[in-house]
Amino acid sequence: MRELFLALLAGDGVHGYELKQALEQEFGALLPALNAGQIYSTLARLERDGLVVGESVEGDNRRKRVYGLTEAGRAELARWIAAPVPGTRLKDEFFMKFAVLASAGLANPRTLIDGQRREYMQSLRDLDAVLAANGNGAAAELLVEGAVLHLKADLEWLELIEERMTP
Amino acid sequence: MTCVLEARSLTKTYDTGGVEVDALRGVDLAVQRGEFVAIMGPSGCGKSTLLNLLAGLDRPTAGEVLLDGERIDELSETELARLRRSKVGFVFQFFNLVPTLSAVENVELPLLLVGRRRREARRSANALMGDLGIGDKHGTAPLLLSGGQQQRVALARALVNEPAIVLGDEPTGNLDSAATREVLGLLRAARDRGQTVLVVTHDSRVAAAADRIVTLRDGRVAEAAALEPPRPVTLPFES
Amino acid sequence: MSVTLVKLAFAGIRSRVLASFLTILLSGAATATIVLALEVGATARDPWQRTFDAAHGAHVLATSPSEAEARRLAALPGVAESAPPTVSALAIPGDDLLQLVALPPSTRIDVPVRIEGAGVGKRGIVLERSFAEKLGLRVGATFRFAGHALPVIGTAISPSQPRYPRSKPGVGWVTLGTFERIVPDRSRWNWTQAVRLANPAAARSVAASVPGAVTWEDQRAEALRDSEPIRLILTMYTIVLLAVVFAVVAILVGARASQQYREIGLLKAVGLTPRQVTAVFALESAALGVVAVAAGFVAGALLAPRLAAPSAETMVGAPTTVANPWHLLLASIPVLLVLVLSARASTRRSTRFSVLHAIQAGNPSPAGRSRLARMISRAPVPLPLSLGLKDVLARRHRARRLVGAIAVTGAAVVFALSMQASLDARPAGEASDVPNELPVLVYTLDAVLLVITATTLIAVVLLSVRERVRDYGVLKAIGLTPRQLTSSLVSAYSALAALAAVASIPIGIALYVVVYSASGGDAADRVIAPWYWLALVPLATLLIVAVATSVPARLATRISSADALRYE
Repeated sequence: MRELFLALLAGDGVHGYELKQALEQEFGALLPALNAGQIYSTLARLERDGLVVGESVEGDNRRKRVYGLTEAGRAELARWIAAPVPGTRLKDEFFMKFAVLASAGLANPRTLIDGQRREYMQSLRDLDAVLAANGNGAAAELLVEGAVLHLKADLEWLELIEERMTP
Repeated sequence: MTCVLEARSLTKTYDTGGVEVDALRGVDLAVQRGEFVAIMGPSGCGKSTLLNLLAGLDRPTAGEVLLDGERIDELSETELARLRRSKVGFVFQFFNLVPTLSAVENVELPLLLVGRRRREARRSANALMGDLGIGDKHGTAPLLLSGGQQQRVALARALVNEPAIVLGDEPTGNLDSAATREVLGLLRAARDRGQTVLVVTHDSRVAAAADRIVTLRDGRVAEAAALEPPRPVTLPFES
Repeated sequence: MSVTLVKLAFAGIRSRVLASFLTILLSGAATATIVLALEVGATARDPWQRTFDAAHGAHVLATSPSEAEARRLAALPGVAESAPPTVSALAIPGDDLLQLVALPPSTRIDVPVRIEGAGVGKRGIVLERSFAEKLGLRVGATFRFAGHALPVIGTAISPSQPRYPRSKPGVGWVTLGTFERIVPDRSRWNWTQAVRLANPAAARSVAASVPGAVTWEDQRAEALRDSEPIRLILTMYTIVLLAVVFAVVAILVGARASQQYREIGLLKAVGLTPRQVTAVFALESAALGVVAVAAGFVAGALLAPRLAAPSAETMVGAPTTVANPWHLLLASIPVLLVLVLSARASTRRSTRFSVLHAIQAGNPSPAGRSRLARMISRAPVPLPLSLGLKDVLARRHRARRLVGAIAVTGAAVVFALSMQASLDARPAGEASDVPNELPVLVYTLDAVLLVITATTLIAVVLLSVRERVRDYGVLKAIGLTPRQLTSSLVSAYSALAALAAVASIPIGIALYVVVYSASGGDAADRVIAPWYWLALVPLATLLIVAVATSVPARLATRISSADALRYE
């Protein structure tokens, strides 16, 4: 969230209000809606951390606060741009569930896997239906295709788990 | 719902250089009209063999194959050919386009075989190729097309006759994600039109589109499952 | 590296017995024909020499209307022996039927060699043998001409007298008395002086000083000219055979090259350059050619004397086998050259490009863009035929060569038919200008051509089926019945062959006309085969091709689709 604000503030002085608008328009429903209070409190925190600086400016009728990035803020932003998102993801909900339940003898491993496989296949179906609906924007499509590919990989992984870990 | 394609205790044994290989060991399968069935399984499980037998491209060692209720495993090559040209569309894994014919000549071939007039056949073939996004490639030699384009030509050839049964052997095997989507869409559209679709695949995405998934293992049916209709998905984006 | 190449070449030959056999047979026939053409004249040299020696022949002969002029020859330096000049004249003024020669008993040079009956004697005439045969006169018959009637008392031959119909007028020897009686007008007399030289090799320089003199070499050359028509026909067949060699070898080698594109790729991976790979194929063909040339040379040398029969009519003894080793060299050059060029031409494409291109070049490409193929698509031909034609035309070069081979073979058959028609058209009883062996030779060569072309055709269809196994599987899967598959192959090749055969008729006629006039034949006597014979050529071709292709075509349909599609 912080990095997002930094990116949005990278231009010349931005109002808190303009920030709210940008958040709603560009990232619409991607993030939960933030109210003005939450926006301003985040801005305040960034200011306190020295990444952002606010300036009071004479507006049309009243005084507004315009925010911009500090040197530290720019540096932080640059770091965020340059650093890739970590690739190694060793957290998988199903794997944890499977490992725990199977070793505790609480569930039949094969049944677990079959059920999960079914869920993944169903999800594939669901996602394909979305794509087939054809009314999506390009970004949405990409996201869905990404999810499909992840699902396919997960299905392959399920095969592997079944091969290796079940008697 | 009528059973349009049926296998009863289907068995096929190959004799390759003195070694006998049991490709299928007594497979039972009944496909209803308008169904979209996917056949999955590890490699070597006999899926392609099953498909070939159902299409009449090969003869079983034992068992029966019925198409529209009639046995086809005992028909002559000629009768099978006539049956296939009007009722069955086959999409091969490696496209198998005839290299000495251009793309559109490949597509219109089934139409010519059932006796449609040359000009009509050409028109239908061109139209279908246009729908598939390869309308500008109609005069091109198959070898000069990309994998995705060739697969679409092969699909067009299989669908041009609007056959009652569409069979596919890994129809998306050599395609990228986008092309896979297109092919899936066409297969689904065929099913929606009332045609019966049966594909052999190892691609879960293709299987997920099917009404029923039959899994083969070691020449036998291991399981059969049907998925629910698609559930709604909330996108983080607004469309 | 060259050892590797040679080893590869021989391995290739061993693995393709049929193709090698065809190549050897065809090249051997071509070689034999060349050798025959080269030697058929020379086989008459020895008999002529024997005749010359038996006749105590004249090293130089001079003929003049003036006796004094003729006698000048005898006075020249270098003359070892001379005799009084003999007189000769046309028996009938202006008619080139008969030339009478007065032969005094004292004649010692250029004495006619007695064959049958008696020598020149009172009141009779000795006819030159070929003349007598042509007129159908035997010893004891009466020769009537221009109001005279002379009994034929014998036949003889002379080294200075070539064979009758080729050389007119015919010659008859009589006594001086008979001569004076028949040709009293001395102004029509010609005097011939015959001399023998101390040094026969100097004949030409001696003859140069006397206008119109003829040396013994000239006489021999004239006698050997009898084999001209045969030699012409043999030359024509040489060209025909070489053309077919080129086409057939190109087909066979080209087919193998495209079948082996993977092997070629491997060879290249091992380090062979495209040129070297082409060299392997060329080497194979050349190796086969060497065997063929040796066999063909032997066959040709042995057959040559039998074709020189007409010349032998004016000579003592039978034509002899020449077997000149230079001819082996002369014959092998064009044959080997054609073999190597043909192999090179057909493999160049497959070896020059990268493996990917080789695969694509090896694969047939659709004939879709060519005008011919578009015409076929639009024509109202049944589907199997149009499929088959596109199939055949996809391998453009191979189809062209096959059509060429069929057309040329058909032309040779038309040639033979026309030759037969001309022979048949001669009035009965007339001795033929052409030896019996010649039609036999022509028919044999035609038979060889037919066998080769038919076999090549079968091989091509078999090959085609093997290459297209997978496509046939696909077509059957789409719904082509086995019968449609068979008919697509058979009809396509039959159509091509019929076209080639129709084209072969004008070619064959043209060949016949050219050879006929070049061999001095009279256009009025020339007979071209009648239309109902010629019509047989395309019909027979159609039949032969249909039968030849139906067997391999059937094979195509026996493959089950599933197997075909698995076939890699």
